[in-house]
Amino acid sequence: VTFPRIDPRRWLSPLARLAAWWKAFWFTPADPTVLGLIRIATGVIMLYIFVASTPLLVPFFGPDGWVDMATEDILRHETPMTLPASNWDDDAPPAVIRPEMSRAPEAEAIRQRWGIDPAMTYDLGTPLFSPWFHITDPVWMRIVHGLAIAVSVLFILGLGTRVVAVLAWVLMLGYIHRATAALFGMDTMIAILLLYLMLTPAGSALSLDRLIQRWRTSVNALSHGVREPLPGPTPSVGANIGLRLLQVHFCMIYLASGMSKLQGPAWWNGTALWQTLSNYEFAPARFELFTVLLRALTANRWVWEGTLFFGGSVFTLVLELGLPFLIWYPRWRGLCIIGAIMLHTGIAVTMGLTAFSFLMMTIVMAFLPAATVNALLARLFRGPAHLWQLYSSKPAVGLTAANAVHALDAFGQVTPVDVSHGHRGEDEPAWLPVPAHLSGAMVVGESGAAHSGYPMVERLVRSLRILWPLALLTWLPGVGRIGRAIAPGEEPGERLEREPASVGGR
Amino acid sequence: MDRDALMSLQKPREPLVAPFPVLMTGLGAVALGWLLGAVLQGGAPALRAILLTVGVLATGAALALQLPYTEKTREGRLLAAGMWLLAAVVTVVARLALDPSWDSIALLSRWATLACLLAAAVTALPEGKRMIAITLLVLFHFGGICVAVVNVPPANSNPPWLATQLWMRVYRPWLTLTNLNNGYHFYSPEPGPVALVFFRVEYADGLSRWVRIPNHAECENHLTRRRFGSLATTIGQSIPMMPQREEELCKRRIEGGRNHEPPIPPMPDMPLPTQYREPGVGVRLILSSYARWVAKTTPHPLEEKVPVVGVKIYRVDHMHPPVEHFQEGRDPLDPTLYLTWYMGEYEANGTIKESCFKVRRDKQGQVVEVIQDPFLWWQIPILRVPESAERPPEAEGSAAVPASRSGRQTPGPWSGEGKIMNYVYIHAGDKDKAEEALP
Repeated sequence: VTFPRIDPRRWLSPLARLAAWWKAFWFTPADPTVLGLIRIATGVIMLYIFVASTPLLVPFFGPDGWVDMATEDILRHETPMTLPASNWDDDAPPAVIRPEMSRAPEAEAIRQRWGIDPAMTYDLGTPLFSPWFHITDPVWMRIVHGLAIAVSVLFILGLGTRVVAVLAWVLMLGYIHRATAALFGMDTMIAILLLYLMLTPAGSALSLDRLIQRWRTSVNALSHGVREPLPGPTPSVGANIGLRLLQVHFCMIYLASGMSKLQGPAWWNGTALWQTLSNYEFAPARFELFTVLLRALTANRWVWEGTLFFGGSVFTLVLELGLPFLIWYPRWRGLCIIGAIMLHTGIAVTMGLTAFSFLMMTIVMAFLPAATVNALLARLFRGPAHLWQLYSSKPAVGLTAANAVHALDAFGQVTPVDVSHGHRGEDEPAWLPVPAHLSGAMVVGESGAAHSGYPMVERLVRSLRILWPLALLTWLPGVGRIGRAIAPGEEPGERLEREPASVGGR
Repeated sequence: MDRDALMSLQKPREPLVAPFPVLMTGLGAVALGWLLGAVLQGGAPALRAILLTVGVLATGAALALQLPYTEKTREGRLLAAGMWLLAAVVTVVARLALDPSWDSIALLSRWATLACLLAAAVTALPEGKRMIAITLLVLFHFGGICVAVVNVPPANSNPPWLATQLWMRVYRPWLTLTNLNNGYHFYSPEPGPVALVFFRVEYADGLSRWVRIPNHAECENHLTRRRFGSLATTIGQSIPMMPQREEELCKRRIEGGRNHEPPIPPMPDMPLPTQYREPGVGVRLILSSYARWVAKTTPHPLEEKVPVVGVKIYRVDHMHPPVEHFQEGRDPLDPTLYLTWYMGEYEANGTIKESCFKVRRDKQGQVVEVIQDPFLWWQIPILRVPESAERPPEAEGSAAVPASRSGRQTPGPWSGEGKIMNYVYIHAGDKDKAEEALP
């Protein structure tokens, strides 16, 4: 008798391939720049939510608000949670599973209020936390609300991001859990974003944390004579996990949303969009032109049906059901992202769900390739000017300023030049005038004009686009005069004398 | 110089600030907070809260400082795991230091302890096993998201039995805590009507004032509008009418409508039992709270100090206007597009008036007696009737007979003919406004 030969490798190989794919999908290091961009966008929306919630502090989060503390305490401590039947009798009352609860001190109150014996419950109440359950004094409420706003600013800036992200998540959930009767899709989306940004290195790019690291790197590099542009943020597995969590969750949201719409006749017959557009109690677009447009739409059935069926139902269903599968293919990704942005722009404009829509667009950013984002950032923030930063490492003259500029110069606009170095670097043009001695940090432009003191600061903040917010200050009347009084330096236009000894070797 | 050499040269080798002193500061602050609580018997709550917050933040900062510099060696991993364990200790001490009244923060600190222990275990594992651990956590997490999605009951049916079991036994704490319990059934199966709530506040001098949410004119931004819209949506959840009470409730509604002066008919062309929407206990509690807030914050029409003697609440669904509405140039906010349910009359302190609703239960929680206003939880119609009509057709006869079959000429549902008969105003006590739209 001969038995067929079974090769275990034949069976294991699909599993091995699956494991390899899984490992590559989740555990390949990724550039954290996209995650940093998502952090900034989330932080801005969080800041908006907190600021816009300021007038709602008393009515929604205060102890005597719309849902007051007495009610909230009952709901979060007493709401009975019962298990579905374990047998086929779905109509039977819940079984007694915790007989000891019948004798609990709160048992009688629960029986009278909820009409159920707590012995029949699997659990009582809901696991919610919020500072607003405990902080009821108006002054302290304002202080904590102010701290929440400050935390969102720190989150945008990316300072101490690891700790600040946890604080942001805790504070935002504190607001959400206190106002459970007043939540909508926006609260769900920001909770998703903040959870994943808290768990992953969201501050390792486009942040002050990153800037501090660049400065420390610069100190280390320039002191070792390494003057190449600092490398970008280190790709990490954590960043990849963060992006993958957002991507998978986004696809699940779209798929669930699309599939649940298939249950509804309005999505099949194409009237769903009409229902949202024409309901003036929901849509904020109550101006006359909007009404005129809707009336014009109803003038011709072909136009009405075509617009609403294809522009509303078909577009929404195809996008929500197709995107979760197609967006993983690079050739479809751009189209899917554009489709999602169109859908959420439409929702923002016609339904007024602005913050929700921006949050959805923020999540879909997780699909943007890091190279594209980096190219876009370079296009936006890399200025046309090229400068040379003169400093001396031995003796240290202008080294601190050189380190700061090297750290801030994310797009390689400023080349550090160590005048105490023995020879001219490859990236130093022959025409670059280099003095033998420096009295302080100095910047030389392409025209050969040298700047030091306040004029150097002015030249730098106007040249490095990342510092443009500061550059605005330099245009204010009087700022330049004060700056020059403090640090006169050399004015632009004063050319350094070329020293023969410095050419070809120092 | 190649990139790797450059990177190794450039990367800082140690944290900006030494993490262990920071960690010790955190431990010390939390311990001091706990000690103060024990010594002062719950005194100095603000100082203790600040100490605990500083302690927990310092511990988090120490972890954030140290972990990026952790070596991948066994010693490095164990060192990091040890820091996580110390952080877990900090969360435990912080929880012990909390007043019992700060129960929700104690709950948060229990979750923080669990997170620290989990992080310690994952950090201590070598790379391969760590990947497996993270994989299991990811699968558990997205399993929960799937459960939340399918746990939303489809139209006229139940959710999957397995999903409800998993939801209740496994995922509810995690998904509720993280607010990831949404099913993402946005605008489905249908976009549906828009919810509103109307309150009629009555004062001791007989004057009254209407309040509505959301009030678009007073909403400064879309966030406020949707927050108020959600308040209205929340009280829309209802429980099915008990079959044994159906006949009695319908009979009382018809009789109540007939005996009212002027009579209030049920909604024509709509089966009577479907016009009854009784809220659950949770919603009733919320309604009481709304009534308290409205009674407290609604100024008297003449700005006089007159006490509130009652708040009537009406839940409203605003239906979307059909095409014919726009074609005929009618107002998209036509009064007949509002479907209204009476949610009871409340005292200024939020208690529902005993004449409106009272339930007496026995010791086991079983209902012994129910006193219920005949209109409570019932739809109150806003109709378009012929200009000449003094009273609507159904007011005299059986409500079960729809208007179209009653032999009377009533305006079509989407025509602009006839006049408005707003029974909500009639029911609320503003009979002089019977032909007006809701505020």
